[in-house]
Amino acid sequence: MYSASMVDRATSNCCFELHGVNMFYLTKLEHTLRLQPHLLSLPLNEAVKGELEGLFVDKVIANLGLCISVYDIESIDGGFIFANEGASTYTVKFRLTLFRPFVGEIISARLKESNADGLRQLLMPDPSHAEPDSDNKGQVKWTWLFNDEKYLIDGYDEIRFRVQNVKFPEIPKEQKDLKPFAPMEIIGSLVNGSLYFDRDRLCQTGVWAPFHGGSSLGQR
Amino acid sequence: MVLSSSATEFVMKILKENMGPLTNFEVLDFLRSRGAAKDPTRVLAPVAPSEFKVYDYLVHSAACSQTRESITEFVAKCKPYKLTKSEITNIINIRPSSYVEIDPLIENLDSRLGESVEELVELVVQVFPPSSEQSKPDENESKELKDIM
Repeated sequence: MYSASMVDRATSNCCFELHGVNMFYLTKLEHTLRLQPHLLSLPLNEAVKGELEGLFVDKVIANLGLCISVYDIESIDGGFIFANEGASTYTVKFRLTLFRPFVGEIISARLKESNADGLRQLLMPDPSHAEPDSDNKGQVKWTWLFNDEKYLIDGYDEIRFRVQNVKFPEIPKEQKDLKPFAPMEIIGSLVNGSLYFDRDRLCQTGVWAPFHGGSSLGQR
Repeated sequence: MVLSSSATEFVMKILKENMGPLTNFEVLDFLRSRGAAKDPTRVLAPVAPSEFKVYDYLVHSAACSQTRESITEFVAKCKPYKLTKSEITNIINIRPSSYVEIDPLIENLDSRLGESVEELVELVVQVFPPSSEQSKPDENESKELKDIM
C-alpha cells in the first residue's frame, strides 16, 4: 500500500531507461531450430517463420515480455542434417515484437473480473489478452491495487492506470491454487497526482474510463 | 550418441534485448501489412488469432487514424515543449484531448509547461484528428456517477 504520487514518480523515473519507452518494442534473438522434413516443400523463409511463430507468438519470454509477432527474419544459416535425423537444423536471427509495458506507462484495460474485497481487483487487460490460455505460457494477468474508496466499476468498463511494476514470476512446479498461472504480472495503480486529488476534474474526462463509454467497444 | 529428431530444441540466445520501441501505430501498421484488416473471415490472412486480438485492440485506440507522417509531424512540432521520449510515446499512443488526460502523462506538468499545456493539447488534437471509432466522454454518464460517489 502506498499513497502519494512522489513515490510512483521516483521509481518510474529510474525505470524508463531500463525498459525502453513503449509497451511494444522489438527484440533481436538468435535461435537454433530443426525443420521437420514435411516442411521441405515450403520456401525456407516461410517454413522458418512458421516454426518461430509456433514457438514464440502468444508466449511470454521471461523478463522480456509477451511475444506478439515475428517482426522479421534477418538471417537463416545452416541447413545441415545431422546423422540419424531427417530434419535439417538452422540458426536463425530474427526480431520479435514484444509487449511489455514500462513502469510509468499509462495503459487502458478492460475490467473483466473483480475480487470483491474492495482493495484488490483482478483486471484482464485489453481485449488483446482477454482469453485465458489453457497453455500456461500464453496468459497475462493484471493486478490492480487501489487504496481509495470503492469506485463503481462495472462489467466491461475500460480503465486507465499507471504501470507500477512488471514481474515475471517463476513457473511453479505444481499448480498451487485454482487460478491459472500468470507468467507475466503487471501491477498498476490509479493513484497519482491528478487522479487522486481532484475528483471533479477526474469525473469530467476520459481519464476515468467509465465515462468513456467503454461499452462501445463491445463485450469480449 | 543418437540425436532425437522429435521436438525442436529450445536453444535461444538474446542478441539485443531492446532494439527500440514501437508505437502502437507501428504495430498496427505491421499487422495491417500482413493483411489483418482485409480478411473478414480471419482465416486466410497469415495472422494468428492472438495477433488479431492485438489488432482489434489497436484499431480501437488512437493509433487507428494515425499515419507515419502525422507521427513525424507531431514529434517535430512538440520539440519546444521538451518532453521525454516516453512522454511523447505515451501521448502518441493515448492521444489526450484535454488537460486532464494529458496530466498523468507528463511529470511536473505545471512547472514545466505552465500556460502552454492547452497549446500542447491543441497540437495533439490537431495533428491526430479523432476517428469515428474512438468513443468520447459522455456528459450525462459523468453526472450520474458523480452523484453516486
